[in-house]
Amino acid sequence: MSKKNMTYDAAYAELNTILSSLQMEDVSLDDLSDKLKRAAELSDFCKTKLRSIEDDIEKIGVVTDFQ
Amino acid sequence: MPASYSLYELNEYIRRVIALNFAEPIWVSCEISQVKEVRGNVYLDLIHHDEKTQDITAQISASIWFKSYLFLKTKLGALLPSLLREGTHVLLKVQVEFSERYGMKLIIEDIDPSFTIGQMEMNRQKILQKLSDDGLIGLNKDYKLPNVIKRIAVISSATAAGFIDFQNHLLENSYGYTYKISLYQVAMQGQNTEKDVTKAFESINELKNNYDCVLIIRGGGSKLDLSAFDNYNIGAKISKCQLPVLTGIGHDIDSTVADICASYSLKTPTAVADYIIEHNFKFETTLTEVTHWISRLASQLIKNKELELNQTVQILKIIPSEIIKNNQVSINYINQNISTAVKNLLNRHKEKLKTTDSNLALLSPKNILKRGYAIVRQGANVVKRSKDLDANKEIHIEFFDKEIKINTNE
Repeated sequence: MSKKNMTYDAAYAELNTILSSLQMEDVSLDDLSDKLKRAAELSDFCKTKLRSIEDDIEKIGVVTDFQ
Repeated sequence: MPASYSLYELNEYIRRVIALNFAEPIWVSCEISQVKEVRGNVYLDLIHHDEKTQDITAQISASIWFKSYLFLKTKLGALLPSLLREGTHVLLKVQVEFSERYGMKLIIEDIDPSFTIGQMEMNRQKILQKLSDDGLIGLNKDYKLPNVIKRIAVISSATAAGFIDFQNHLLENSYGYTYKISLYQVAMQGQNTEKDVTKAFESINELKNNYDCVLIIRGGGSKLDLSAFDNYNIGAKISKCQLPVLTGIGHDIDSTVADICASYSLKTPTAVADYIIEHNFKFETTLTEVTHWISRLASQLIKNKELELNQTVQILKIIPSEIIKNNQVSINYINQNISTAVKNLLNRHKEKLKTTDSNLALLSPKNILKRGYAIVRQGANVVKRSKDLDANKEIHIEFFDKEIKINTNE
């Protein structure tokens, strides 16, 4: 999935899949660094997404600017 | 020539006979058919109706002389003109007189008003009974007054004090309400009343869409003055009127037939005016109250919605940051788990490698040679059995540190 079209839910789901495959030791060593790179990418994406949602919420100001 | 008398002699004889037989005054009940006052004396025609046929079965002239008239005025006051009216049934104390020149005449000395009042009451009861039998009582009460009374049809006399009082009272109300009064002129007493009033009702019914109600207004007067309203046809017209009828015909105690048939019966014309003003005021008050309530309910509603919204906003304030927090926690958790899993994975692989390494090391021939073994070779071949050894060939022995050559032929 390209980074542009990725959704938080999809990224989160993929991250979980990587985690469970690692926990089941279902990963060949050759693929390990690629998997880890992907996991780091997904984790970054999710964190960035969360931060930007947080910023958006503050900008929208439902909470503070109302009344 | 038979014996004869002169007319004078005859009349003188009649006068004497009558004077002898009617020495004292007597009480007579009768109906007044005509009455007129000339220079302080009152001249009347008295009649008697047959109860069944209504034909006049007796008639006589009567007078109240000036002196008796003064006495009656003092005794009866306002009642007297009501008693001395065409159509009234009266009980009279009369002196029967016969004059040779003017003939028979009754000289009225006294009037018993209770007889007339009793007669009228009986008459009233009879009319009410008949109206009731004909189903004509209470019909008008089906017609309710509109919320606001603006257009009023008044049956009265323009010159009657009662009407003028009513008009002034109504139009000078303190609330500033205006009214449109249409007067239907009628005689409010006497024999024309019935005809006038019923005609007025007919005209009003034709224009019923132009009016909110009908009023019958009449100033004060004696009980007998009101007798015109103890009338079957007037009662029937009121009952059948298609607008609510209000009466103010000036009486204190008894209700006339008109009052009983009307939807609203009030004592005086000014009471009618007050009633109408209050009726409109009541509506205005209700309107003000309703308006007040609407605005109160509306502001209450807005307040409640505002409160609800604030609560929602409060919840909104909390929920998104909590969602984000939870997600951050779970991402961190996953990351940690990933690094743990990876560490475990790599360790496992390292261990495996180490085992393989040590196994390999154990199998290396140099390690075996260290323990004191040696490899015997001849040429390129390793000599594993003694029979394979060629005594004529050079023997190579490999120790762990060094390889030596042995020449067997030497």
